[in-house]
Amino acid sequence: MAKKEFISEVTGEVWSKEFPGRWNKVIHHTGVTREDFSNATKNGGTVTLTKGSEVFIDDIRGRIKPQYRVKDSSGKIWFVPVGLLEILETEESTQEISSETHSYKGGVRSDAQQINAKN
Amino acid sequence: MANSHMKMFQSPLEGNKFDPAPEDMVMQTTTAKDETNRQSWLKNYKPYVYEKMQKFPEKIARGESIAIIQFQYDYLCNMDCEHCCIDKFYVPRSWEKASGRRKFEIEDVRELSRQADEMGLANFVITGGEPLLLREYDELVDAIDPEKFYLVTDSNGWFLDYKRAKHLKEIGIDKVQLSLDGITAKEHDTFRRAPGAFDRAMRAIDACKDANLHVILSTVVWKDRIYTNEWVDFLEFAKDKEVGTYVVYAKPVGAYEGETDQMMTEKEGKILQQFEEEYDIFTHMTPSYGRDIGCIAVKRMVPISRYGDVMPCPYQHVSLGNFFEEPLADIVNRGLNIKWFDPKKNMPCICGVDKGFIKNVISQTYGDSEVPVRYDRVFTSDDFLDKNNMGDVRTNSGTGVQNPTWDNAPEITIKGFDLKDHNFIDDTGN
Repeated sequence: MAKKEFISEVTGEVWSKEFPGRWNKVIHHTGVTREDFSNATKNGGTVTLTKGSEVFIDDIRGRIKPQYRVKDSSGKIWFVPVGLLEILETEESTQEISSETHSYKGGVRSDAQQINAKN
Repeated sequence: MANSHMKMFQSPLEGNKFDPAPEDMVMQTTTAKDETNRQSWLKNYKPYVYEKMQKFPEKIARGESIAIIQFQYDYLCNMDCEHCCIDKFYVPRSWEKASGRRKFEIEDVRELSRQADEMGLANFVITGGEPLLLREYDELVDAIDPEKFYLVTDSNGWFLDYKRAKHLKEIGIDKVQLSLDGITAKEHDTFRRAPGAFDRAMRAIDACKDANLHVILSTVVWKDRIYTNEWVDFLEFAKDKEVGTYVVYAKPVGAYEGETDQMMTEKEGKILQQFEEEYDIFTHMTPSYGRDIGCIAVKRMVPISRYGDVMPCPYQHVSLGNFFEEPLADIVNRGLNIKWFDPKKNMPCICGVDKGFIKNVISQTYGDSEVPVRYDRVFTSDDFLDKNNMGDVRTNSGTGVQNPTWDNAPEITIKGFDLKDHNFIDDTGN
């Protein structure tokens, strides 16, 4: 859902900005990837979240390139561009946000879902 | 003095409401060469800050930090810059509140100011995001306390007309660092993805000068740019405008994550030094007040995020600790205890030119990593000088790997002082 476009007068390139949905309509919701999404690993390899994967959304970051933090079926955490996901439910989640589900150490998660914060 | 601004250096820089200098005495340029004048100006205008800065050589010799606090109070911005390096830190407002993250409140800023002052630090840079978007900007400046710190604000200039420039000066801002990516509207607006950004930046330069508010440009340089006519045109433009330019090395982070091809090398660094002779430009590696300490990470710069994370440099998204959890002095001491930030070594710009550091540390912040990554995730016992004070890093977590950059770096020399071993023990509590 591109909502803002910028066309470069230098290159003619069109840039579109995506926007995340309202947090209570995406957090604790399930989304499906619209296309393959690949990431470089720290060892120089690549990992891919394939098209059609169901993921669980539990955080949001970014403004210019907004991303959802999601967990795939194996429990791996990904940050995917918001435009890559189709959100399955449209209702607000009934699951409460609490320190049980979300706690932070500085800018990063420190609850059970964390990937790089130290408990 | 090689550049044509010599005449500008003859007069003290006019400051703000704290400044006793007459209205017509203005120094708009900033280079390594005008430091003597800057210091004499500071002595009259902010004597307390001047006194603190006078103690900097002793502090360096004792292995202490003289850091500028680069304060990322808020990441809100009105532009969508192609080269933004901080986008991952932004959290939408309503979600930030709902998720319960702790962020800086004005009272926390007062405490940060108190601790920084207690450490003998003398500089704050308010950055973002676009700081001039903030409704509570004046309150923020007041909380930092302009009498205790030399205050710089970053800005893209969009909200900076004459009235605002005059106001900034009145509330205690000493300098505006204005981002400029090109000298035509086409180039600049493309980088910023914001039609009209260039015109607003031009207005901002004139507004600051008219309001006698010190303004410098800030621009990013990458390997290829330095060889182009556009680069020389940029420098000539700044020269014509009679404004200094802070040149930022492109780093393989943020929007340019992993892109090391355009990083500056030693060769380009030397070319840039030649430009420094001819033009009113400086980099983070330019000796400040005549002291060449090399890479300024932790030693002369500590960014602090909206969420309290204290980082070594704006391009190293690694948390050395959190301000809401422990005293700033303890966190900075921990940073200085890491070889890469060794207070006795004159290190190169490690995240700009050291491929080993980028591979082992910076790359840990890429992709799916949550940032900033905590120090104990990227540094091991091999990286620490004093193995007894490594915070959460496990003893023997290293593999005995050498650090040739650190091994080969020369010692910092401070005229009239012998370097002493720094006491890295956290002695400020916690």
